[in-house]
Formats: sequence, structure tokens, C-alpha cells
Amino acid sequence: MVTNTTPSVAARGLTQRIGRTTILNGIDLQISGGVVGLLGPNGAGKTTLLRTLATVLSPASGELQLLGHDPRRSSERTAIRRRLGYLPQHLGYYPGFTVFEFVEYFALLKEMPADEVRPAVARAIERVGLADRAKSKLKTLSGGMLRRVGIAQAIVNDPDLLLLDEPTAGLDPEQRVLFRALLRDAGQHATVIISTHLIEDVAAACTAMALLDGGRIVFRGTPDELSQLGDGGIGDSALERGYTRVLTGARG
Amino acid sequence: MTTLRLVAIEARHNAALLLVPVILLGAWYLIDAQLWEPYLWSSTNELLRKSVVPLAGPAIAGAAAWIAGNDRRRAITDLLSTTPHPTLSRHLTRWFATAVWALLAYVVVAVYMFSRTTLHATWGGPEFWSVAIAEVALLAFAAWGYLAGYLSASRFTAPIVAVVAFSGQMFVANSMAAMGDGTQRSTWPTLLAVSNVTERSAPWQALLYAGLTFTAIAALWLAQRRDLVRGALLALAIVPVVGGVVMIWAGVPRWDYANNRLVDGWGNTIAAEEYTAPEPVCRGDDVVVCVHPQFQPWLDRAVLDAEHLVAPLRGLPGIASPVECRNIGFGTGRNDGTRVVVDGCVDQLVADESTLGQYGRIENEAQHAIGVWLLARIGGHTMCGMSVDPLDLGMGFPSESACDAGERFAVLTEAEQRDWLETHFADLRTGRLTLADLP
Repeated sequence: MVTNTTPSVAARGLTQRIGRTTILNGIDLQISGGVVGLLGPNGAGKTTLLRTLATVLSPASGELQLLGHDPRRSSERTAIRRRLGYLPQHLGYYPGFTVFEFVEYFALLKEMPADEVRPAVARAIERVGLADRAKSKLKTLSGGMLRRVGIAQAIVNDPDLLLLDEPTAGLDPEQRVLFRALLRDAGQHATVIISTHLIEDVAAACTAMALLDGGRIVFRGTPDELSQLGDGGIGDSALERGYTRVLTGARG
Repeated sequence: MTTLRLVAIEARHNAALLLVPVILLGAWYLIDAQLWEPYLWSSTNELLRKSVVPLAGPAIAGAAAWIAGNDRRRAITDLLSTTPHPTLSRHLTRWFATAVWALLAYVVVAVYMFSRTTLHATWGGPEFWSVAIAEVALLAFAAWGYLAGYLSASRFTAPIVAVVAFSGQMFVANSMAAMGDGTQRSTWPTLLAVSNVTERSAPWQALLYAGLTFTAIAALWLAQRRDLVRGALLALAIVPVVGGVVMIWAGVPRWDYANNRLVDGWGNTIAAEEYTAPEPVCRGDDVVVCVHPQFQPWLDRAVLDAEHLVAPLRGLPGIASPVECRNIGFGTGRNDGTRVVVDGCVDQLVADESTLGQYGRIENEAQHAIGVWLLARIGGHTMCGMSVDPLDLGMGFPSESACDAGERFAVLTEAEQRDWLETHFADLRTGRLTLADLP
């Protein structure tokens, strides 16, 4: 459970490089609960930021605290990971596993208490609407169903920090609506950060958002605040106009 | 509990599971052709050592390489790296879940062979230590295969690993064969060959394979993150491997060809009493046949054959009464108690002990010719016309000329044969005759 006194994510001057290319350039971010959307064009650094927050990548420089711990330290990184849920942009999977086994496998790797694993797995699968496919092998599922399996493994341990990279990609409209409800529910007791290209997802489910461009945060606020900046921007909705307006302004 | 469940999930979806029927069928093919009556523990144990690991080892190494590369090929490493479960522990779980199928397949084969042999064999027992060594060796195969797959996730790694492991086994086997015929004096291949395990070397070979396994695991650990502490621990992991090699070198007996003696790794002569044969079992009146106790069920037939063999030689100089045909060797090459006894008996009948060559075999061609005749009389294998390693035969390997002379002798009448034998048998036994002296 995230308390108000300890931010789930606290980054200052966070920099990330891959080779000689700077992907994140001095990110300052503080998030304490709720559902936070990360928006930005391709190559803005959203996925790299989420991978850094998920402890896949170690920061090149800057300060980072996750759930009150320093991910650079091995013992603290383990503590973070116990309370973490992560859905990568491209979900790899073992095709011979059943839905239940795949989620159970990650529940075990998340070191959940043994007696809680099976009920938690069943609950997670139920929450993503795959209870009737629990015994299906992953190789028989559609892309959208696989995405939901990925979400199930991310939420199976009721994480305090839930990181979802383009979670709605491949979901049909009905599933996206259900997923937004799941997001709002998860945001009641955890910090949820989602990276997405779908502005309507942010509008519908996020309580706060950040707009990235060129490895920097160019806007931070609520979806309503971004909408209000939309005058002169391009787009079908106020949020889209705000999005394009801020990007245009940030690029000078 | 968590670890067991992870092993169960990993094992259930492991590519190595597909190898189990392949290993079982391969083992059955290799073994069933050789495991025939009479069932001898010595044969069973040797077959088990020689047949299964050379097949299952490379197979499980390849499977482990495939499994180890799975995460990277399926782009699941990011997700796995965000879990708190220690990475090395996860790899060990997966490695064991892979190896366990080979271990089980081996146990199934061993139980099958032991069961069949138990029903028939009269002497000896299963070499459980040999089974234990093989299991540790399979773990080592899986560990090194897994390490290779972890370092290179290519689809080609698994088949390459399997081929390299198989080639390595073949190289070791060929080196050992070369040692056997004296063309290769180096004894290092014996250190690695599971088929060469002996009760004496078993603890050291176990140490070696365990060390190899430990080293592969340590290298896997080191490969995840390089630092000095882990490097030092890897160096420590190599200690049991080096120790195992040294101790096996010291402990495994080998033949010193130059000085014709059994020595250990330091060149010290190993006392013969360490290898005393078991008490033979003997039967018969006019011809007493003594054999290794494992051949006991076939002793009556051996006595009958030996009596037929001795019959034309009765009363000749050098033929004792009763005749004792003794073959207490442990040899399983022919897997037939009767033939082994009879072959050995021919040596004793036609040649004085002082004329026998290296390994107690006939070297004189005239003795060979009469030996061929005697064996042909009772329907035994004369080895004429066969290209066989003479070291495999009780009687030695008769030349073509000796075989021809034996056939010529066989077409004489019994009276002519007896006349010739009464005149020349004493000289024959002392090696003073040549083929030109035969009729």
C-alpha cells in the first residue's frame, strides 16, 4: 500500500543512455498514487522511462527512488520488485504454458506466499476476463487475449507500483472499456503508470499525466489541464489539440 | 514449495521431455541387441555404462542449450528481470527441470536392465555407484549445455552443443580403444569416460563431474554480472575439477605397457591382490571345469563340451587325469560361459604353459592347427576366416595356414589322428613343431 508520505516514484535529473545516445535527459518526476499516463511521440523515451522504473535498466545518472527504495542497491531493488507489476511493450511468452500456468509462474517468481498464489492467479485471470480460457495454451490465444494475460501477470501480486507499456494495444473496444475500469480500480490503492499513444485512454482513466518529447518531460498535469492548452493545436478533441500544441511549443 | 512448483512447471513444458522417448528407444535399440541370455551382471553393468550416457549426455546438453536460450529468443528477459526471484536460482530451477528428464530416463533404463538381470543372474549385482556417476555426469552435460545456450541464444546453439558433446564422447571412446590396442599411451581420456568408471575410481569421477557441474553453474552466475568477487568464486569452483582430475589420475589403475604392470597415476605398482578374482566354481570328474561363479548355470554344459574336447587326447603325454579346465576370467566379450571355458581349455591342452605367449595365448602355429581341429570337432568357433582382434579370443587367432592344417588333420581317420598324436603330442606341447610337421 502506498502511503501519502512516500512517493511511489521520485526522480530527479534522471538520465538514461543506450550506447552514446541519450534517451532520457534529466527527468524530474514525483508520483504518489493514482493513474498516471505517459504520452509522447515515438522515440520520446516512454518505454525507456518505464523500463527504468521497472528496474530493467539502471539509471545512467540522477536520483531515483521507487516505493521509497533505491533501485541501484541490490537488496532494495529486490524489495521494489516484490511490490512491482510490469507489462512490457512487447510481451514475450512461453507458447506451451496455459494462461493459468503463465500467471502462476510469475506469481511464484514474484515470491508471493505459496498459499496465496493459486487464489491470486485465479483472481487476476478473472479480472482480465480470461477465466474461461485459464486452461488454454498461450499459443492458441489472439493478440488481444495475450495482452490481457500480460496484464494479469502484472497485477497478480496486487502491486503498489504498476507499470503498463501500451496495455491497450490489440484490445477490442469492449475490452478497452473494461480495462479502463480495471485501471481506475487499481489506482485506488496503487500507483499505476501507463504509457500509451491512445489519448482517449488517458482522458478516460488517468488522474494525472506527463508528456515526453526528446527524452524530457514537456508537460506535467492533469488531462483537463492539457486540454485547456489546446487553443491553436491540431486534433479532433481538446486533449489532442493540447497534446499537439504542447509538442509544437516544446520544439520551438 | 515455491521452488518445487517452479520445477514442476518448468519440467512439464521442457523440451527435454520430448527426448525421454528418444533416449529410451535409443537405449533399448543399443541394449536389447546385446543383453541376451545368459544374463550376467558384468555384461549388464558394462552395457549400462557404455550405452546410455553417450547417447543421453549429448541429447540433454543440446536440450539444455535450447532451454537456456528460450528467454532471449522469446524476448521475455525484460519481464523476468523485474521479478524479485534471484536470477541464478531461476536458471538453476530450469537447468534441473531439464536435467531431471535425462536422470529419470537413465533410471528407467537401469531399472529395466537390473530387473531383467536379477531374474537370471547367479553371481554379482548391480553397480549402483556406476548409476550414481552416470547421473552426476548427466547433470554436468546439462549444466554445460545450459551455459552454452545462455551465452548464445541462437537456434543453432543446441544442435551444435549436441554434436560437439557427441563428438567429444566419440573422441574419448576412440582414444580409449587406441589405448586398448596399445597404439595410444595417454590415459587422460579415461578420466572423462563414464564407460570407464570403476569402483576404485568412482568417488573421484563423481568429484570430477560434480566439479564440472559446479564450474558451469559458477560461470553462469559470473556471466550475469562480472566482478572480482564472483571471479574469485569461479576460480574456487574450478578447484574440485582440478582436484577430481588429479585424484582420478592418482587413483585409476592403468597398464604400464613398457614394464608390463598395473600402476597408479604416480607410477606406483598396484598390488595384484587388490584385484583378486572371486572363488571359482568347479564341476566334473574326468574333466573338472572351473569357471567364474557368474557362469555357474552353464557349467554342466561346459563340462560336457570339455569332455568331448579332451576325449581324443586321453592318455597322451602331458594330459593330466583328471584334466582341469580353468577359466576364471571375468570376460564378458563373448557373453557365453561354455565357449569361454572351452577356448581356454584348448590352450591348456595343446600347449605347455612355458610355450604360451603374452596374455597366456597360443603362439605356435602347429598348436593352433590342432586347436582348430579340436574346436571344430565339438562345433566350436575356430575363428578361422574371421578378422577378429586376437586379444578378444581365448585361444588366440589362428593363421590361414594353421586353419588349413587343422582342416587337413580333421579329414584323417581317427586311427591316423591318434597315431600322429601319440608320436608328436609331446613335441607339440613344448612348441617344437611347425606346420610342416603336421600331416
